[in-house]
Amino acid sequence: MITVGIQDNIRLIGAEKNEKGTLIVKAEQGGDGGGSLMDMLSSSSSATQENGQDYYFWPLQEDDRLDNETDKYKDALNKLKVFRAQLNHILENYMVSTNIKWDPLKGLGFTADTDLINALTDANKRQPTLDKIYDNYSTQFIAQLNAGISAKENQGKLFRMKLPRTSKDKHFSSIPKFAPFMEPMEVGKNISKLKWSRYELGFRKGDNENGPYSGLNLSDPTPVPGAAAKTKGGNEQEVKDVDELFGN
Amino acid sequence: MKKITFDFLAEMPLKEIDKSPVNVIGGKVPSPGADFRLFSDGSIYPSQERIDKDNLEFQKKESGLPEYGYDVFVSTDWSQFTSDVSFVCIAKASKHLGKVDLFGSAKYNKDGTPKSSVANQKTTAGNDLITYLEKVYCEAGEKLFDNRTFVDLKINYNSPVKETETKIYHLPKIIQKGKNAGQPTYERRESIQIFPLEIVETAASSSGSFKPEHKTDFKTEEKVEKTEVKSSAVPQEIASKLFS
Repeated sequence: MITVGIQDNIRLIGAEKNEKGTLIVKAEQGGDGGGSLMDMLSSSSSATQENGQDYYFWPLQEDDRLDNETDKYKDALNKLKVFRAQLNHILENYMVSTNIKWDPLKGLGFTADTDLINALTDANKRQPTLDKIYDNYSTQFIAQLNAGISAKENQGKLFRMKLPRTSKDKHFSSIPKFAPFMEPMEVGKNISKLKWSRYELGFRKGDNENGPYSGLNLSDPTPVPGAAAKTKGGNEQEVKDVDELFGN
Repeated sequence: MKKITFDFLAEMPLKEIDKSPVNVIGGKVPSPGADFRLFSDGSIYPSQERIDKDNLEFQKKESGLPEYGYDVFVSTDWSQFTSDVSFVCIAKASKHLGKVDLFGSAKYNKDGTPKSSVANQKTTAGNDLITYLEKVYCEAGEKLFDNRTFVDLKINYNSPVKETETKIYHLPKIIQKGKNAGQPTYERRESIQIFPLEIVETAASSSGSFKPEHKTDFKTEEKVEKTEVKSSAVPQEIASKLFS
């Protein structure tokens, strides 16, 4: 697996969809930056090999916690924007932006600019629309990324990537939602734009500037004892132990 | 009653307010053959030819018309550069991109029209460029503006830097504001052309001791009317090896 952190020498191998239609980007780490023995022992099923990792881009889900259609529409639109920007940022590491082409509304039958707004404000159409656009972006991203990776000028190209932990309980690395999280290795480390924000380091309002911070430190690669059991339906006592350990 | 006779006024010189370098010999217009005039206070002015050819003029906001400025940097500060030959690089960039070094921003009137032409805009955008020119072209302890108020600069279009295969560039920049001001960073550019920027020595600007000698072994000299080009151009053979 590829460890949480700002990692050098990451190579993207390709992208694909699994049987459920979820977008997966496959990566591996070159050089000596592979995971530790502990990482390997506690690795999830997403790890493809010793120094490789599958990164999942989960389908876009409408937020049921929001209680009115306008907010749900805004949330859905924002999710689409963030997803597109995330994919764009990856592709821009392989090609100039004018070569990146999207047709997110393909197959939706929309004929007017307002059709998308109407679909995302309609409770019955919102999730199917999100699913279709997610699928379009994923399909088009896979084609463009795989072509970019195999292009002569990009073969073997290595990147520096910012890879935060997945969650408090899962120490596996993930691809962040917000750019920049990827830059070519030819960019000197001294001018790298990949840095942890104070929020990502766990700083929250009211915390002392110098720490310790009360929020989740996304740069921390430390596995949580018992967390694997928790995420796979572990026993109740183990869950409580973990929660107490992290002050929940 | 005190009686004043005013005859002395005919002979008395008036004290003048110190003028900015812009108002001294030569004005803002670069010498024939030069592309820019750079003053010691960081103000810089393009030639009319550059304004026209590179669309440097500021346009009305949201007009959609093309408008460009320039990125400038030192070759050896650039992480994609594979040679140790140090020279000042310049590349045209849309003003709408981030961190464009020269002619990148203007002040606007309420109706969205620019307050001044790029040919007259008062700016200190050339300050970093002065640092770069001194770093590359001056000997230790030597200053670019020793006994002179301006220098003229020329883009060497004969020696373009070879383009990358991806046409993606990460150009070195300096953070200008905030707590990290002064620290190095970079900006992404696409499909640009990068050229050397060289100092042109003119009769008006060469009254002082400064001689634009270079740490490189550039030999080319070119006469442009009365303008002598002390060339800091990258030899073609070096340029052709870049990115190879």
